[in-house]
Amino acid sequence: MGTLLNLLPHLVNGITLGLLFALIALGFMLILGLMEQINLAHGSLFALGAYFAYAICAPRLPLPPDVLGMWAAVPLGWRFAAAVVLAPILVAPFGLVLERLMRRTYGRDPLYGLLLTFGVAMVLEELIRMVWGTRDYILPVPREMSGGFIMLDLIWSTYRFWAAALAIVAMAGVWAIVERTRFGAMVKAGAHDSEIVQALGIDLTRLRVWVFVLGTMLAAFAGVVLAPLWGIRPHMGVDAVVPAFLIIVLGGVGSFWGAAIGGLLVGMVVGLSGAYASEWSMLSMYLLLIAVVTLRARGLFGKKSVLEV
Amino acid sequence: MLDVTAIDTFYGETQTLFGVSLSVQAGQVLALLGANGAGKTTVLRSILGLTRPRRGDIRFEGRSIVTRATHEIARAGIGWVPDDRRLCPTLTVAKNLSLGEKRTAFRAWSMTEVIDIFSPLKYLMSREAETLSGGEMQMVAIARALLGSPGLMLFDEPSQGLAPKIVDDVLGVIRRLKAAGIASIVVEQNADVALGVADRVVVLLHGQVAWSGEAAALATDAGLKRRLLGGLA
Repeated sequence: MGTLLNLLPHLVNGITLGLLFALIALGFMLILGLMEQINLAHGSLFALGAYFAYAICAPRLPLPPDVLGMWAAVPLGWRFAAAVVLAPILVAPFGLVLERLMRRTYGRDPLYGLLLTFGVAMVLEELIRMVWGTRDYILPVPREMSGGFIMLDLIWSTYRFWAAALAIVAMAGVWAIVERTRFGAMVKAGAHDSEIVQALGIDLTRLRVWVFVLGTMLAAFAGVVLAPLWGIRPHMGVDAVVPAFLIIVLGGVGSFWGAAIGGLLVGMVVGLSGAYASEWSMLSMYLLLIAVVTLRARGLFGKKSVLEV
Repeated sequence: MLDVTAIDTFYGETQTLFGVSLSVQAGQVLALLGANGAGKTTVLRSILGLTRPRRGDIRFEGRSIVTRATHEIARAGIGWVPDDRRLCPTLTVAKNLSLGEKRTAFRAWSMTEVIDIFSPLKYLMSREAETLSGGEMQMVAIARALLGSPGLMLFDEPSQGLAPKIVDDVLGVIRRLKAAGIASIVVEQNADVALGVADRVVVLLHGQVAWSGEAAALATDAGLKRRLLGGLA
């Protein structure tokens, strides 16, 4: 019993990770659904979100010294809040450019999209190295959100609860957009049949741009929120695109709840394996990917798999 | 209202339409007849810009639409009822219908008016489209096109897979639209169905216009009908 109780904080850790993974996966899935292309650079957009958040919070902004000094004097709580809101907005233009580049791949062999976005991912990672160097950064968290507390004789990290709460708010937002708005209906219908939505008078080109921007901002948001837990380093994009891909394989394309459940599952595996051997937590994700693709490529819900798109 | 002039349309390198011309006047119903593979659906796809003609011109309300994007053609006032209905299966009927709502230069149709024509829609609104019967799907597909305020409706095989009673209902709707001033092109393999509502007829044979004229002329001339449509009539 004692050991099981000891696992609880790791479970919370897994849920937090899972919710953030699900956010990355949802954007990845929306793009996959409407463009029928896998965006391997999705993780790089996530990484950019984390770096921009660092630039805003640390603060390392390219501003005149006196302006920067004034910004640095703003309490960290406000700077962190600004990063949560602004970083996704700042990353959005990168998504816009990427979507523009991807247009020529729409309706073609997915291999073109894979090659293009793989190239973009490399370019973005190198750009990050050029601007910020190869070292790791820690995103400073406001005092109110950091530290830990003791409950049930166990030590809990406060920020993990904040991160989970932020992720839930964002997930609820995505759910509302996809399930409750005309835009969401357009996205679903467009993913199912791109000809009919155009024949109904819907501008598919513009719809694709908005979906890409939404997916980009979700990835960047996850990057900001995950940065204090994961640290910030150039390679973090790949660490994020793998769980996203895994979640889509598990949960199936086009299912909000599939992504949510898949996300929690992957998060648990990473969180719990981290409890026993922290060096295994990332590796466990890759092992799970191999296992799932080999044994259950149709996903948990038996729907059409991403591998068959 | 619609003038298609000498269009050549290809799928990849295979030519499906050879210099097809036809025209529809406002409030008129044109039946587009011909055997399977004669190119009837391709004519509709060419008008909608889904499969673009390589040569020839298509004018709608005097303006060339042959290079316009599909959504712009739809917004100009052309509605489409595809043969396989193409509803989004995971969305409710209400959402499928709302996707079709738009304003054009033509008479706008409100949801209330559309439900007035298709009264069973009222009870189907919250159902997911994949749970509907063939006839119900056809009704939603027509209602969806109508909510887009079209001046011209393109019906692709409206009778396909439907019970005779429901085919009659669909024909009744086409007549009502005609009375409301909406023109239609009705693609049919079942010539008698189409001749029941058509003013004019175009018969396609291997991607070319084999005959065009008044529907009455074809309907009353059994010999001509047999020669043009063979076993189809």
